[in-house]
Amino acid sequence: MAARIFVSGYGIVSSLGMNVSENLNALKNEKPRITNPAFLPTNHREMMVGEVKESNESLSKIAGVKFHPTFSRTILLGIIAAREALEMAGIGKAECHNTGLVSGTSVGGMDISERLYKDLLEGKPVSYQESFSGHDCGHSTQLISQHLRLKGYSSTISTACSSAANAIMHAGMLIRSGQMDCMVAGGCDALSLYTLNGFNALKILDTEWCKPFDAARHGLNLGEGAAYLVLESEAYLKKRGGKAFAELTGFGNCNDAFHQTASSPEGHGAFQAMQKALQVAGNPKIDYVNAHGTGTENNDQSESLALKRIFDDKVPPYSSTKAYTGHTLAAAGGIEAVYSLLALREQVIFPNLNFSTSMGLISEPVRALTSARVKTVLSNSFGFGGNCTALTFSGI
Amino acid sequence: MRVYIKASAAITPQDTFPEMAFQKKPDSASVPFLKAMEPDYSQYIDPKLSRRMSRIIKMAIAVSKQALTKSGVSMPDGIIVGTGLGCMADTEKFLKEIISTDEGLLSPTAFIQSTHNTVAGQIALLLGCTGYNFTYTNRGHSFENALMDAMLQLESGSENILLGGCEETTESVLCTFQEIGCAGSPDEAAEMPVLGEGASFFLLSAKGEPGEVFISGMNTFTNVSVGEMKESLDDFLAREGVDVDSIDLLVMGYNNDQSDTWYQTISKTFPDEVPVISFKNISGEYFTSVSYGLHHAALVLQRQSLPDQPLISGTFNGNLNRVLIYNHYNGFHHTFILLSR
Repeated sequence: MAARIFVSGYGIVSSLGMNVSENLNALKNEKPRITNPAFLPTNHREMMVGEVKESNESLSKIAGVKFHPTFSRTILLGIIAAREALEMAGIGKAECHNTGLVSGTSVGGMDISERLYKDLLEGKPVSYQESFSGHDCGHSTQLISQHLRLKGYSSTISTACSSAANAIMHAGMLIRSGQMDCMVAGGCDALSLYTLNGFNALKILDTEWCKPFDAARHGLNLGEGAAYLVLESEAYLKKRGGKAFAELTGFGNCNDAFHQTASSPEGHGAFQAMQKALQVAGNPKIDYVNAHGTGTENNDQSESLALKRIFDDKVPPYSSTKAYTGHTLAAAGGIEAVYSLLALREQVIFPNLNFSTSMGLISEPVRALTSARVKTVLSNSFGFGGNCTALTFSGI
Repeated sequence: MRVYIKASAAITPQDTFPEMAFQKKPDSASVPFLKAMEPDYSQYIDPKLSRRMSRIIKMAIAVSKQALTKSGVSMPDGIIVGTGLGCMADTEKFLKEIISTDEGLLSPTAFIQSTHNTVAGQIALLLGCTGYNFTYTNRGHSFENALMDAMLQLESGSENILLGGCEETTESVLCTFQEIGCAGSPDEAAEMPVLGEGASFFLLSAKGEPGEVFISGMNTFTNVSVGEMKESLDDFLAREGVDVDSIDLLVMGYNNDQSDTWYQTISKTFPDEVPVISFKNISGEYFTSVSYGLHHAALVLQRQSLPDQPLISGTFNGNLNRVLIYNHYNGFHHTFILLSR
């Protein structure tokens, strides 16, 4: 039997709140936090975003970092979420020495570089070092590791909207192969003008609240946040006397190989990712699917057909939680992994908000907070570039 | 475990593609960094498609196709790419449009081609490869992360993996690197690394024939002192079961500065006669330049001869069975890769 991969901690920041308990309260009370932007300096005031309602100054305080105007919001969100995960797991200074970090991000330090690139183009004096040396994605991983004193193997994944799910998968494989005992894995992305204008140019943003899986869906709302899990081998968990909350049992990654941004209409990639994950997990009964469900015409149709095919028409209870948080891009797979773990812990299924009319392809998503016996959850993340990933988590 | 290099190909600022013939001087062209010598892409990519592609994507596709052709594998089980900065040209293009139109009406083309996973995604799309697909972007360890994953995948049952490292350099990238002290200019005598760019791709397999080149191990670490790095080397060699006398060649990331303490320290660990060569005189410096170092070292082992370049030190006695690659990025990211045949 393949070595087991335990989840001993998790942490999260999203528009729903600054930690696990604030997120859980909002989920349970069906309180989405998607509003017009208050901190993102965009002209598109009409857009609806899942924004973390804290300034960078205040996020710096919470993260325990000295505020600096060129310190990316992506890193601040990442530090806060990863620290909560380590605290829950009880990973102390000694253990941090051998603990690694796999972090997914798609924008990295874009929030800073886009502001200062404007100054550069306008001919204002710009320090390249302060402005752009943190542009690359790896910078955020390096700073999160340094602030949390994580000295083990570090890696950064950038596979668009599947980044954090891939980070969790990769960390799981590093543990399963015996290369690492303990890894922090997840993702972080701040809102940026770059992504807001990019998705707007693609005409896939809804200017109202997004309606995942609804026949009248118009697109997605962007969000921001970060979420990380602490993953450990069985031997290491036992050795340090840690407590596991759940187990990462399955993971599957593939490429849709259909189009740079769109998913194949019949969801080949989504199907294959789920198939691989279920196979790795030993084909368990799935009690809840936390769907990718962005609310775009294309994704929700493609994902519905893939769900129908993989579950042979008997699709388990499913929902997209993106109507609560918006699509947090590279962080989404981490945030939704935490929601999947909360579904296991609380024995509930979180509702798919804003749904009213079925697309007529599969059963309707779960529409209200529902108590259920939840033993295994499947979490989907798909992205640009055809990247498709599915994870399964089981209670213990 | 052994990871066999079935085939590899590289585009660099020198004449290395489709086959290596690097006797020429770097082509410094009109830009102050080493610009890649790009081939006529029409035999690798449909011109209708390549017209919209940025240089990093075209370079990566051309070397991927060349590596696949040479290996005889038409469909890899997976594609894993490392790139520190990804699609910079399209990123800058879209940013400029946002700024110049003040968030006005924009064409999404540059945006959709600017995500870091565009390279791996486009290769998958062109090959119709629905297998494993990952992109790593971790500064001076982007390629190493990708190689680590390739090893994991081969160990977990994949038959072969297409692995690559790639980077495109733009004026803004150059300015940033110069200001943070990571780059000089090819014309300067100053002992600063010269920035380059390019793509190096490999077809890796867990199975090999006698005499084929294989990677037996890699070790990466960050933020260490020279002493700690030396200890890491000793640990690495011990773990790999080799001693300093059994290394036939050191392939190092020297770039325009032969007094670099890191490289000198590693050199001094080995007997004086062990030949030392650099690869950055061909690739230039970039986040994933070690991918070219690996291609360079693999070719040396395959061809059983050294390229036409002066040795930094040592003497070559014709023996080429085991090569150690050592590279550091800005003194922060360090990498050892052990290659054998």
